[in-house]
Amino acid sequence: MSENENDFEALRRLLALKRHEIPPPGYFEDFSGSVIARIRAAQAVRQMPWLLRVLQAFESKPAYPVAFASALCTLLLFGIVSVEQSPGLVASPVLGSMDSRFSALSNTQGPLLSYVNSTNSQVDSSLFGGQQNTSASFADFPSTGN
Amino acid sequence: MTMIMAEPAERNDSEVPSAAAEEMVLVDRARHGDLKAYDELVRRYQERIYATVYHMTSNHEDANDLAQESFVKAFQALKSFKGGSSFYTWLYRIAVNKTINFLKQRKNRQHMSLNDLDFNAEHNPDLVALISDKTPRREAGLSELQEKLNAALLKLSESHRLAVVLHDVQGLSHEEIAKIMHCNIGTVRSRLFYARQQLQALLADYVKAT
Repeated sequence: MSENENDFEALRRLLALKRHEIPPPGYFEDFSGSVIARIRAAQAVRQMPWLLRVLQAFESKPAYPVAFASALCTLLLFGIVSVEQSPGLVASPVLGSMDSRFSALSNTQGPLLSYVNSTNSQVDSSLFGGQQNTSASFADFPSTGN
Repeated sequence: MTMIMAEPAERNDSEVPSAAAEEMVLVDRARHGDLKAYDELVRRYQERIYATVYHMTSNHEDANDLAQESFVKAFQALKSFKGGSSFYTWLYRIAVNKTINFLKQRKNRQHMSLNDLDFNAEHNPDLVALISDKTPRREAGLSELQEKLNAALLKLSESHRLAVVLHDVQGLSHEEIAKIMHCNIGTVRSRLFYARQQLQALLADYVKAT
């Protein structure tokens, strides 16, 4: 290995140039102060409630709220699309029972709905020259003595 | 201000035990939240940690951030420091891991200027000899040499660059580097050899046989 050391002696002298690369004057006077300030800031953040920590992260890096909002929008859109396209929702127990109740109701009120339809067709035909068959009768209320 | 960063550390054996004991006291106090004690530890190692990170990144801004973050992370992880290695080695390992992770994420980027060199560089006989016949203007030659050197270093893999920086620039022993890089001494020597070979080829115009 000592032979190798000698082989690279010129290179080692050249690498010594790196030792002359220095930071700006006075840099190390403030260095430890900056480190301690960072430690104190980290400790202060750790003592904050989690919600404040999240808000502070949002403030310090604008990319975070943008990413959060994008994720929220994507989730919302995905939810809407999946609800519209999913047939499974109709077959769900709650909605399924509601649907059966609704169909039962429409069956029992079938004559009522057909009556409404026939009345409407009668009115329509009378408007266009058809015979209007209307009759009125007085209501007969039983009188009560005082 | 004239200052040479990260000169190889000269150690007096008689001072080592007391210094180590004193350091352990500081570490223990810092572990219990004493920021004054930690401030003292930061002051002890700030130049060496900064220099290592700087030579790995070749960028002052990145080195500043990474060195500070390394010290902050070390403070937060002090409870996990069992004292199996020296605080210095443990701290170095944190800084090195942080720097390597950063470099993996970073694309090639380098900022250099002659202002980064101190006054001594222009009066270093080895450097003057290297550049004297390359360009008529010394400053241009030194700046060019610095750029070539950093560009060549950045072409090495992180582990090879680290071996060169720690040994040839900072003067650490193979044993210390092995502890920092978490590998055996043979691996350190091998990395150092191949890194130097690569650098020699990349800087062939500047490296003269002696």
